[in-house]
Amino acid sequence: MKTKERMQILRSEMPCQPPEVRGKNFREVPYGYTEEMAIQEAQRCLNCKKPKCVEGCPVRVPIPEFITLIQEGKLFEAAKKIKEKNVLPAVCGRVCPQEVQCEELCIRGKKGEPVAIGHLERFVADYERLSGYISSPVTVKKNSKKIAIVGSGPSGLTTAGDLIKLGYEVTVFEAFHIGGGVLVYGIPEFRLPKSVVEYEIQNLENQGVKFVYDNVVGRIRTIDDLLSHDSFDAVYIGVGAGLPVFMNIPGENLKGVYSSNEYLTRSNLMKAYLFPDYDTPLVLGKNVVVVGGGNVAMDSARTALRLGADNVYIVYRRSREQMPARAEEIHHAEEEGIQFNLLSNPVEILGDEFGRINKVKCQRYKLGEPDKSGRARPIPIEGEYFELETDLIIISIGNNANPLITMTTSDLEVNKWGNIVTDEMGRTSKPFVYAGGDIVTGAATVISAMGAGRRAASAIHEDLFPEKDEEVDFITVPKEKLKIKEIAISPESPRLKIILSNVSDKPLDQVKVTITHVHDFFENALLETTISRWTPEEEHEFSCPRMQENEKEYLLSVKDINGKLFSKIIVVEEENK
Amino acid sequence: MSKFKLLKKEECVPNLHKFVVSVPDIARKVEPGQFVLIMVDEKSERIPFTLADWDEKDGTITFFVQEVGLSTTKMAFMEEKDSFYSIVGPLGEPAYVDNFGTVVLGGGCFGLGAIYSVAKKLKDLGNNIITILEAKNESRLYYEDEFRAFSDEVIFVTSDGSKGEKGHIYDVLEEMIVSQGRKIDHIKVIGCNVMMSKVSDVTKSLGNIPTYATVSTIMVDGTGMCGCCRLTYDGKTKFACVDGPEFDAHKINWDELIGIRNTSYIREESLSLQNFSPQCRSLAKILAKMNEEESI
Ligand SMILES: Cc1cc2nc3c(=O)[nH]c(=O)nc-3n(C[C@H](O)[C@H](O)[C@H](O)COP(=O)(O)OP(=O)(O)OC[C@H]3O[C@@H](n4cnc5c(N)ncnc54)[C@H](O)[C@@H]3O)c2cc1C
Ligand SMILES: Cc1cc2nc3c(=O)[nH]c(=O)nc-3n(C[C@H](O)[C@H](O)[C@H](O)COP(=O)(O)OP(=O)(O)OC[C@H]3O[C@@H](n4cnc5c(N)ncnc54)[C@H](O)[C@@H]3O)c2cc1C
Ligand code: SF4
Ligand code: FES
Repeated sequence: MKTKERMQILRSEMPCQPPEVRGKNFREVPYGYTEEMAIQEAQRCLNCKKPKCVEGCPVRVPIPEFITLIQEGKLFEAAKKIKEKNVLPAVCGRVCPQEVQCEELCIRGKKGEPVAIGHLERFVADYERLSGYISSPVTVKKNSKKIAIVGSGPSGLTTAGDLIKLGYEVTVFEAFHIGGGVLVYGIPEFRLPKSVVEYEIQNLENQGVKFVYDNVVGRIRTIDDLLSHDSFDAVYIGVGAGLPVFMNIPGENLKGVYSSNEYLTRSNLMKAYLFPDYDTPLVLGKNVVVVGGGNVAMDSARTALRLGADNVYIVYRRSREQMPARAEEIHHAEEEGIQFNLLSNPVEILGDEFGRINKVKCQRYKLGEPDKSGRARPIPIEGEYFELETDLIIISIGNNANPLITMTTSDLEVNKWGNIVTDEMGRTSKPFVYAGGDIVTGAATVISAMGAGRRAASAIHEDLFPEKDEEVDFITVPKEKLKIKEIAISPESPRLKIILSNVSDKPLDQVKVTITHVHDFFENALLETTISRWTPEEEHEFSCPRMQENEKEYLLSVKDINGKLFSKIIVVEEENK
Repeated sequence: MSKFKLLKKEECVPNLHKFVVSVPDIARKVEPGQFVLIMVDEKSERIPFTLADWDEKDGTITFFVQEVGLSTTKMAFMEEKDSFYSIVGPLGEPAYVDNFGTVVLGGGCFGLGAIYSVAKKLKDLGNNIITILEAKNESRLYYEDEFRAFSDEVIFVTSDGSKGEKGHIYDVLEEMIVSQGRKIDHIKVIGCNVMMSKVSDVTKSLGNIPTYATVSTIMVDGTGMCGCCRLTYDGKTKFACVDGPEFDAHKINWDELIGIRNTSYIREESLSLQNFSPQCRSLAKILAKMNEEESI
């Protein structure tokens, strides 16, 4: 298909439950693309040489590659392609803020609508899941090291998935009785069906990850216990940001005032929306006020609507443009009839003689000079107040770091907000203890939590199997085993070719050859193969596509059953010799 | 699933049961004053119970359950060898203990049992222990012998005077302090919030005798994540599940706790109790057994 033709295709609209219907049920709002819609949408992608979209993706999903596979109808391959970088595509396709990440930079967005990258990601992940595909146990050789992961949110799950593939024994400790973190107790069913999260956890279990539920680390076992008593070699802390912020205004402890954490946990995790079939109750409001402008506020508001509210108001102190929620959520909330009271903020909650709330007094705000975050600062307007009648208030103005773990762990450095301090790879101040996700960054996004999990997994691997071993290996086994015979790579060549030969007098077993791009943060392999037996003098040729023409440095690393043989940086020559 | 197996259950007095459950990890780590959150089955609420005793060797924990609503009624219908869906703990900060001198421990309803572990610990630390056990009438008192083993003095008080003194814990305290002029260094109470708030009033007016209460609040996660268990303490918001559950009783805003926060769900609570048909469990068991037999 020619570019011109591609340019003429319009973006496929996501089919959704109509607002008047979905406002009364908890089923997922978008139905998802059909196969025809997905392929048509995929054809809009220009497969750019220098894909801008990838730069916008925090984990660098190979976007044009997977979209090209959809164009060719290779849907399983497309799913596999995404999973090279993103282990939870069905989740991210639904909850990532694509409009400020990949889709914001997509070239097609310059004139018209960007390619619906998120919808396509969701489509292929769903396609794979609904086909009944399940991962099989990882067959890599166990490396005899044990890792404990604290918290089963997106960051913990990512770390677990990466480490199990490297041969570690991985155990996830979770405070709640089911796994998934915010994905199950925060984000509602109508936005992210719980079956999607269950499936991902089932996959990890199939691969050999152990899950221990009902375990509040810090109480039942401390981080130090995990390292000593339970003899784990390393611990990853991915406990999220679970400490609700209240407003500290009069009336906040009256009946009918919830933190969004409590409201959503009761509804999602404890299934209060199915009360009285499930036992956990929830105050059902007729006039509901939700304070805040993020995803959490939108989720609370839309849950209250589905539980039968007549009026749901969002009260937010800045303007619409500054709302941190995903564009799609704001749009859906509006369609469903959520009413926005922007540039206003509660100052007092009033109640009746039984301690039940009946009104909230709000002050009006205007926008002033930009603050440190670059957003215009909201300024209260003297003397301008209004009141809303209400029987349920949900406060969604953010979360701080929960101190349970940091309080009970010696030598763990935290910043003044209580977030754990780490280096860029997730190493904390305590040896063999790593952290990532919301507990490090403060409340952020699913994808950034996953990126942190992945970096920590590679740091753990680096620290437990340090390069030093390799040097020792070299001294004790002076004889070279494998030699690079030829490297064929030049600026013009789109491929990299390497020939290796076994120069030792013994056969080598399970030789794993990996080529990665040196500057690729996630060290994702361009090539990864294993030669089960490599006899002396035998030669093997390896070839893989290059990342991009202007990328010159590649890392070749070779291991056999006994560990690392060598790793070498290969540089593309500037001039032909 | 043999996780959280109920090993022993005993109805000490009508509608009050002693549970012994196997949870080795908790038994290893718990300290006096800490609690667990329990879900009976997949659909249950998460309900807090103070641990009264534990045995690290056997890996068991012991707690007392007063039947008041749906979850506690479901528990009353459980049988030995049944399992709980979820038990999380130990949660909360341990009780504040030290060698105070003379300590009065007051327990009412489930608190009769719940305060036991604290009594044992305080005795170990060398305190002179006076235990006051309160109940409506003689037939509702239990755990007497156990307390005798760790108390220098055990006083009973019943509303109708059928055993020991007539009245309430705070009446006994007032009598001890005012009429008998006894010196008390520290007081701890566990039981219903109303009883504890009254004890607090009395000890405050009688010269601010240090008094600690284990508050009963409604809870969800027990880790400080939801804020449902919040109370006003010393003018500030605190979370019972992580900052407590034991607090200096004189600084608690009892009116808010009793009158507002803990009565949020009365309508829903009675609705769900009415919906509960207690035959279900036994019926389900019989059906399961029949199915099993059929398949053989
Ligand atoms: C309502 C809501 C909607 C959101 N919507 C979006 C969205 O649309 N898009 C988006 O990108 N992001 C969204 N976010 C943010 C996103 O969900 C989080 O940034 C992300 O989940 C953080 O992942 P995490 O792994 O760091 O922690 P979490 O997901 O918070 O998981 C932490 C896990 O650790 C467990 N834990 C905590 N303490 C302990 C302990 N002591 N011992 C054992 N386990 C413990 C918790 O129970 C939890 O399961 C939303 C958040 C909320 C609350
Ligand atoms: C830290 C802590 C330790 C506790 N220890 C014990 C214990 O060792 N043994 C014991 O029997 N009970 C204990 N409780 C109280 C127990 O948790 C409640 O009785 C239980 O939640 C009632 O649940 P339900 O579903 O049976 O009743 P519901 O139907 O939920 O409620 C019935 C009645 O109980 C009241 N109630 C509901 N929840 C609570 C609550 N959390 N605390 C007090 N009253 C409540 C309601 O207002 C209502 O009047 C403790 C509570 C806390 C917070
Ligand atoms: S920028 Fe847009 S058009 Fe270009 S590769 Fe990415 S998705 Fe396709
Ligand atoms: S029970 Fe949720 S914060 Fe205490």
